[in-house]
Amino acid sequence: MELDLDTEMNLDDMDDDLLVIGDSQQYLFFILAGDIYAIDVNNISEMIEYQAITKVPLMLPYIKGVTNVRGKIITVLDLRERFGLGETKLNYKTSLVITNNIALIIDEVHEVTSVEESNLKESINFGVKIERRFVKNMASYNNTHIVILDCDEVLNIKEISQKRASK
Amino acid sequence: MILDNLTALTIYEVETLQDIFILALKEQENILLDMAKIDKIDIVGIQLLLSMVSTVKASQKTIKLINVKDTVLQQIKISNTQIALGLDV
Amino acid sequence: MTEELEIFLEDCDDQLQMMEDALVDMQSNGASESTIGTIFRAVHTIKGSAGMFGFDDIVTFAHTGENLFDSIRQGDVGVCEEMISLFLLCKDHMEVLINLLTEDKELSAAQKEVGHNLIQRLEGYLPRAQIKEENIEDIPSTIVIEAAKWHISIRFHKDFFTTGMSINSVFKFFNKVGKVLKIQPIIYNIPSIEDINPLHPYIGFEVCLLADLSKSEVEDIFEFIQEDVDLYIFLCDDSDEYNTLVSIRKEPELKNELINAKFIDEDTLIEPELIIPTVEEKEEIVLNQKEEEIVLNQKEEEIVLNQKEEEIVLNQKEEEEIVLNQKEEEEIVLNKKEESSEPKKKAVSSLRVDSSKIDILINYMSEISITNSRILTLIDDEGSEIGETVIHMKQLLEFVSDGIMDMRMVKVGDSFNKFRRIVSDTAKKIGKDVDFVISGEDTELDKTVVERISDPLLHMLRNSIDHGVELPEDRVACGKPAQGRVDLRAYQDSGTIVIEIEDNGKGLDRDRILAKAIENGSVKKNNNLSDSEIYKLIFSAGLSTAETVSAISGRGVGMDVVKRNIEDLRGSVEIESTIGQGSKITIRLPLTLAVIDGFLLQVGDTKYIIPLENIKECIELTTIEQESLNGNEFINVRGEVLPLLDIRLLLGENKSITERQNIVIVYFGKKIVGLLVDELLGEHQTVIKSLGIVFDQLSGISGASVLGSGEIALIFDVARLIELRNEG
Repeated sequence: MELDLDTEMNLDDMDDDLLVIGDSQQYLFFILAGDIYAIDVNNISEMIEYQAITKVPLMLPYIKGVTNVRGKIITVLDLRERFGLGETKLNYKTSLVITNNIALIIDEVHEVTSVEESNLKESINFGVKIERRFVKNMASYNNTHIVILDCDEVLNIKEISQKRASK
Repeated sequence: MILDNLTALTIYEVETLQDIFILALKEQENILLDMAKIDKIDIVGIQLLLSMVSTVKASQKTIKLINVKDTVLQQIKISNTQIALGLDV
Repeated sequence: MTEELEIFLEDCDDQLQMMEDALVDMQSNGASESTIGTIFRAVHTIKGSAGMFGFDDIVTFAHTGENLFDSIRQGDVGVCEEMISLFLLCKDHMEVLINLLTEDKELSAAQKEVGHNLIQRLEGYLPRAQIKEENIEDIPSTIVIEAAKWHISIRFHKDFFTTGMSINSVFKFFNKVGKVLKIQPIIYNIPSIEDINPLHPYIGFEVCLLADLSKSEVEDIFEFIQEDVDLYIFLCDDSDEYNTLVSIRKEPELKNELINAKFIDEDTLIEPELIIPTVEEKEEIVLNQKEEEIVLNQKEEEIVLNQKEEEIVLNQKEEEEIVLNQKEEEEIVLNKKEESSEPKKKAVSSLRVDSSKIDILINYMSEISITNSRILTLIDDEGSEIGETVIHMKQLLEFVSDGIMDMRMVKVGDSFNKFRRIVSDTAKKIGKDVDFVISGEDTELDKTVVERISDPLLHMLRNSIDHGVELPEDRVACGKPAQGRVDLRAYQDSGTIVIEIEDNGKGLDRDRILAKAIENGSVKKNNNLSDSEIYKLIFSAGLSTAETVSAISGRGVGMDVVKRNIEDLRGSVEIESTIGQGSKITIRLPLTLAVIDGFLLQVGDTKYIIPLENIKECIELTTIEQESLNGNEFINVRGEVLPLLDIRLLLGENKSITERQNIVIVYFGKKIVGLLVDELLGEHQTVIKSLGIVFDQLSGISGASVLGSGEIALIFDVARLIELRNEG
């Protein structure tokens, strides 16, 4: 409980910084199936190392189950599988990014940094490996173009809460 | 439209009335709500009327409450909702 | 009786008692400043609260008394012997008035006469001028002189409408204590007619009140509804507060609304972005808040101390009584004097606590218990001194957590009695004569369960009256008494709460339900449904057998919602019915939603918990027995046929690899099923947590729990599992 409050406070502080910066926004850059993707940090409440997961039966394959984060029960979703890029192979770099009480499994945290608004663009590059609906926009980052994920679509409750079709 | 089955517009009637209203909204262009038989109203009823009035307005139709009894009007005035309900005072 | 009314009555009892004590003291020791003050405050408090409820008889009566005491307090009028006996008579009359409220009766002519007489006698003592002034203006003149302009922002919690309290009576009361300068209804949150839940409040109010009251006195006006409203009160002069109001309400339209209604000029309201305090200011605010909290905490401590003192006094009294009782037994001599001079008082003093605070405690308790069991596993030596201490700790923690759980329990009576009026109104409206009988009011149930079961019960009661009980003439024609009867019962039965609604009306028409279900396609033509399966169909969506849609029910929505609500509470519902004799709906609910004693077991990779209250016994199966079972859906247990449910199959797990399998025999109500599982791991007390919305559609699992190891176990919903078995 204590710790929860702390993380919330930290996010508040971040907000203040962002106000000062003005036209830029912070993003988490992470690696998934060999490519870099980004999520707006405002969507993220916490990042932790991968930890044991309790399987919940009958759900879609990418809903891996639930995990205990300081007494709170958090749903775990395999982002690679959600995007149809195969199941995540666990190693010591595997992490959980918690957004909206759902933990996303990612291969590796890359960095958290801010992106100027002028470096964002709506059009989607050719060669993006995931479905367009998951893409919010693109960001120029180290001379390449990176997909910024649309969290609302990735975590579309109606879609991800469906039960697995019976065999 | 005359609310002939009802004599009050309170927490006990709002669920029924909601159905009646939804139906009226589908079938009628300009709705006249005859309140002649209503002797009692409470805040729950007022809220439902407010919802109806704003829904009707949003769909480019008109609604008017007529023959509102004094006792009912007094209750409406206590919460100062008469203007939002389009009642001439 | 509503909870609010009950608090009011409790409060009145206290105030009247204080008044009597002070008056008796006055009789023997003469009037003192403190006794006069006590009586004045008591009368004032009763008047204030009675005004809130619109009990005008009490208000008028108390008002005269209050005026006289005000004059006494200011030294304008002296106290004499007759005056004290007059006050005692007045106190008795107030008691009569309040008791009438409890019994919901009208004032008789004789009682009215007594009241009138007393008022006249009271007025006889008042200085002439004051009576006149009072007649002209109901508001005491002092109010206008020092009045402050208060802004009161009101929003309502979800249940406000159903508590039966009226906001209009609050507004009326505003005009009694001061002058309402403005009331602005806030209506932009009201959904469209299609989307609105008419029983939930969306409306809000911004009020400007001119009154000679302090902030806490303004807050006191809301005393009886404070749990169900969200208030923000400040002085109208303070333009900063308007900015705060706009930012805390988080309603984008509010700013314009306040400007349009001329609460404030456009210039005074700053754009929300700009009012974010700098870091230093923020710290200051935090500091101030802390100071406030400290002050508050001190106050709370004082209150707690006072209460403790009271309790101690009470305990002493009780002890004395016990001693007395013992003496009685020993000597069989009654000390009559003592008995008559000390009327037996019920020692119930209560403390109102926000239920969310209890939820927080429960959560922490579960964390503590988990941590404690982890310590035990770390020590790994239960026999050592430290091991024993931890085990002792575990027992103590169980006491504490039982105690906390107990705080959540409330008697169902309050909630049941609320139905009386609605039942009689409903019956009257459709011309039926119904005797509504409540029993088992003292049965205790988790507060959350009570709140959430209230709407479904109301719906079923309305149904019983509308569809069940016949019109008086029809009843007589069938040879039944003209008056029908609807029973609402509650009782405990093996770890669950049972609520029954029974009527002696015409019963369910089996054939018509079936015809209707076939017509709308939910049941096939050639079926062999049992009677109880057919009755259950009334809980499916879109099935109303009422031939005409009446104002009360028969809209085809509702009963399916009722069933879902009950299932959400981990409960079940069943119907029995006999044509011509009536129907009975039986609802079974768990005692509490927060904690269960469960049995831990494993299926596949996942651990599960079955609530202990649902378990009859566990049987171990050897490999040979398993083979003989081989796909059978039933097993013979000591000569009785037991339907089986293979959990692995249900949950889509691979076929078992363990040598031994177990059967856990579970029951819910009268239904019984054997669950085929892998491994049994033992008993486990656990706090139920939600799995999260992603798993909302997963049936058969009602939640999850964190084990001592930090692992998560899923909790089976036995009622649902049994249904799943029967559905195949």
